[in-house]
Amino acid sequence: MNVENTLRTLLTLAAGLGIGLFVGYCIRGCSFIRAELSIGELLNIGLTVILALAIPLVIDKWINRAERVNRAAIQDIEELISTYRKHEEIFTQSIPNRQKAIMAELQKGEYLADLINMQLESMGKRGNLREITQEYYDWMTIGEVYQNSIPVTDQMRMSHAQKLHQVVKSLKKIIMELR
Amino acid sequence: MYIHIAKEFSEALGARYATEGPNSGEEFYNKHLEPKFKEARERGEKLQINLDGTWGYPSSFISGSFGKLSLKYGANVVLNTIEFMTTESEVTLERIKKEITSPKKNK
Repeated sequence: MNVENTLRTLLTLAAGLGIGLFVGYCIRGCSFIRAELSIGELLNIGLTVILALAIPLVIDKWINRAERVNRAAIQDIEELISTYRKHEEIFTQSIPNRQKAIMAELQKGEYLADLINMQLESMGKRGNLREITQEYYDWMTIGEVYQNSIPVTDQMRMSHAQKLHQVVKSLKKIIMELR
Repeated sequence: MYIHIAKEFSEALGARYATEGPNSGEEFYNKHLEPKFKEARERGEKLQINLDGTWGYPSSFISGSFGKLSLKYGANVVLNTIEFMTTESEVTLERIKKEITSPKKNK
């Protein structure tokens, strides 16, 4: 990827230089062109050309980077949603150690949420992802849900489905804002 | 003074109260956290707590141990005495510190 970017930059610079030379060659005979140039003027022209080429390149690179981070954040939020959806299995299957299963699944989500937060912050978008995931984390690790001794009930499944719906909805809202 | 929760207590942490199952926050508080915290304060030492190596920190466990300690001794005393160590999860550390700073009062 880096080699590709470097080659693209070099080609753009070479193309710019080529166009400059070509234009210079074409207009060399024009009467308004002075044959004598001082070193200062030459440096001034050189600097102008470099700036003219560099500014669009820097802006292009910056936009590309922002787009890449944005895409990655959306993908990671979608993955976080799939991770959360898998939690339904904890409540539909008979899992002997529910606490362990909950923590193992939540940890996956935690690492993803941490990564997404970093991506959002790097784009200057400090969202409320932490609060959204915290609320779900609290629900999963407080109360009857987080007790091996209490069997899974329909009420528990229903409450989980509601909580899951809330968290997924909030995460999808972030995706919509990023798009 | 040092506690490595995963090695000295458990890798799979339970809920808040001992009545809710094994490895609860209450059990950790009574057997490890408060005794070592008091000892560290008496000696004028820091209590280092290693958070790594567990399956994660349930909110109920955090509240039943660190939150309870904070309610009893005050957030500043707790934060000045305990030094947390983790290379695994900054989020967990933030969560514990938040609970110490504003502990939830439970029944």
